[in-house]
Amino acid sequence: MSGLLRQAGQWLNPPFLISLAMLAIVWEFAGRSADILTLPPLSAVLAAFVRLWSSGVLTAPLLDSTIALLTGLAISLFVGSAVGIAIGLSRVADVALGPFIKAGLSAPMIAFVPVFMMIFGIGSETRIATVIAFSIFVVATNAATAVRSTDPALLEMARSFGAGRWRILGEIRLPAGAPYFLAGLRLGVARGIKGLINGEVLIAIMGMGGLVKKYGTVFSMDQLYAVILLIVLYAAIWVGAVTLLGRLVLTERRK
Amino acid sequence: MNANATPAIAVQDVSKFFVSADGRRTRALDKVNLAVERGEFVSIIGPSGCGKTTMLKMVGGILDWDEGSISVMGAPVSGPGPERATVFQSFALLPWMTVLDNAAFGLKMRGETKAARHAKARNLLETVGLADFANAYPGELSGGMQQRVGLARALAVSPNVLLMDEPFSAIDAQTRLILQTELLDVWSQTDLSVLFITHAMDEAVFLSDRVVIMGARPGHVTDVIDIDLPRPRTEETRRDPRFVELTARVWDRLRGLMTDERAGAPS
Amino acid sequence: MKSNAPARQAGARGHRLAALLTDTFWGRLTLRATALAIVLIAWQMAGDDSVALLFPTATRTFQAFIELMADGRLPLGLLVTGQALLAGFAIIIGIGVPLGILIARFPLVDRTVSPYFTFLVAVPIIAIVPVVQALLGLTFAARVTVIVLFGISYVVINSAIAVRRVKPELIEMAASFGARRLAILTQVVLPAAVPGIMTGARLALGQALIGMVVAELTIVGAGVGSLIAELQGRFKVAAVLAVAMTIVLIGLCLLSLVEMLERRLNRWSLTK
Repeated sequence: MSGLLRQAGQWLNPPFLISLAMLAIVWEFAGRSADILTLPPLSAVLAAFVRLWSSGVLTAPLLDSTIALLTGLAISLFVGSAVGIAIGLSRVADVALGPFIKAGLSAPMIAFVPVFMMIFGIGSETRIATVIAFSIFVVATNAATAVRSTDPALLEMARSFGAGRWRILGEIRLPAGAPYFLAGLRLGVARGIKGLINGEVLIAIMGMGGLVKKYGTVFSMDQLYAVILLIVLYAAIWVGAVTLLGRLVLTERRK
Repeated sequence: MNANATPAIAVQDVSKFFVSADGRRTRALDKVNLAVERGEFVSIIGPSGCGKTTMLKMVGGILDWDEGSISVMGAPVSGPGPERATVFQSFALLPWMTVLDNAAFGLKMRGETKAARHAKARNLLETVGLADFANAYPGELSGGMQQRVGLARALAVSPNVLLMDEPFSAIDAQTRLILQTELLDVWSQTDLSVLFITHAMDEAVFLSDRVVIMGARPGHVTDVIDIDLPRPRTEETRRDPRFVELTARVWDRLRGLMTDERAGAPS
Repeated sequence: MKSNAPARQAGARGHRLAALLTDTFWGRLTLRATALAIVLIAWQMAGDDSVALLFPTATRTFQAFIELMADGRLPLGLLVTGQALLAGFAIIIGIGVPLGILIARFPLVDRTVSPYFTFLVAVPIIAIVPVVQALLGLTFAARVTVIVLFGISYVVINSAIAVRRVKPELIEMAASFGARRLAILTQVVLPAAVPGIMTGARLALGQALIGMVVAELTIVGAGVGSLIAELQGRFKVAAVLAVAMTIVLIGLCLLSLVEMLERRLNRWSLTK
């Protein structure tokens, strides 16, 4: 719990809040005084956010995006964990597949989005593919670490009691690796959301990313900023929720 | 005139307070008095929390105190100075520098030219038996060898006073015995005054002219034991009945402090 | 027990083969080459060149790559795009490292500035691109800004952590030898922080590459972005795939380069 408090402390500290308030004031006045099309006053953005939210325009894209995100994440978690566990258990699989996973982890996978768009069409499959491309490698990497990082003393103990390969996996390796699986989940969700929004902005007609494109191209700036605010909140809430979940699971286990 | 009469280190009525997170002031050191004469080797020993390392840092000038006075070579301490050099428990070697550059680090901070400081450092590496490792990196050396580099670095700046903060506590028992003898060899060829912190009784007795025993909560000096073993001290010294007797005496005093502590502990 | 023996022998033989494949240089090479061959063959078989918009085979993609290289459009596009990446990465390092050091040394800077960078890490930067575009237009500066926004927080945060993690006893040691603040910073803190800063640089490069592609695809300029847009318009899937794979492979090469540098600078910390 102290970790959570510390995290909250990073945001709820006076110097940061003062600087944030100052930025907000500067934004408001710059938006009001200078008649810049691209910088509507903060109050107008917040008003647009409330207006959009209460009109229900945001509900459908939000739901739509969430379903795509969950579909992609489910595939990433399932396939990624399976591949990761295989790599963690077998040196042969590690040597053969490891380089691909490592490459996928760091390569700019976003370059494939135009290809997805042409093959899958302008549809949900494209953004699901993007979510997977962004999240699967980090899930696999963490799953491999989870299985591999088991304390050798525990393994020896289990073997001395006659446990076989699969029992050891189920009874020792997977539970012992839980923190890494949770880290994989957290990073997978964080990356998956980026993949989702990236995909949607590039596809340009679907979900929240589509709204960015829609308001961006017609220079409806207050609404554009409102949607950006929504996306930022959406991402923050997801990452916060998964982080919290991980902490709760781990503290529960320690008891 | 008087200079020779003043001790190398004089600590008078020094107290130190720590302020804890909840704002309470606790006394860490209580009116500590301590003197190290010129050319003398003095050890401080005591249970953990007695403030012996705090004491050493204050003499080294990298930690302030609240009451009393500390002077080194007759001059009041107000920060680190060229007449003092410290050897650290964790060796504190810079892992990206070669052994030679590490040994020359103190001289570099004094602004000596590369040629001059390398010549001096090489000399001292020879003294500590590491001439062949000048171009190695600390990570490639054993703990004992790393601390030899730490000693060479301290000696390189030609100090009058050597401050040693549990220098051998991270080193295995056998190597430690060898390093003790080597340290005495080096020391006997100089007129260095040494203040040596340790938690090993045999080490304190073997090395020192006097052993200062400190108690905890708050840290204070409880005993000073004169070690009248003849010098030079060798492996024979360790088998000397007098050595065994003195070590037992140190242990008696220390054990008394530790039983006090257990009796005084709340739970 | 006895009936188990043949199976155990077979198991031992399997073990020896596995060890041969994983623990010798040539074994690993064979294994990896086989894995790559399987991927390429699977790609070739999964591909279908009969209709333009289907997933192209490996050979058709490679052909498209050769054509794009031969007529000079891909190299030119990469060159233009690379300039934005270079400028962006230079700014990331040039601003990010000093800022990270300031954050580590001054608590007030830390508390004021750090939350913004934590925020930048968590947020999909692509959502902010329309803002950048609105403020800076379809310019080189806009693309560089996007790249900087994607990568800079990783350098800032990692530099700050690296500086903060410098062992206090090293700083104490330097102080005891009379080192002044500046000397402590240049002689002890910065060298000790180099590995952490390099890790930040590597992560930032990975993000900067994503930012580069995003900038190219959203703020279309003369680089690979316009090439992709044009090929997409003409339904050349194989060509688009060839461009994408080129970007990914070049990105991986750049990342390995930085990783090699990181390891070189890190040698001393590995021997510990």
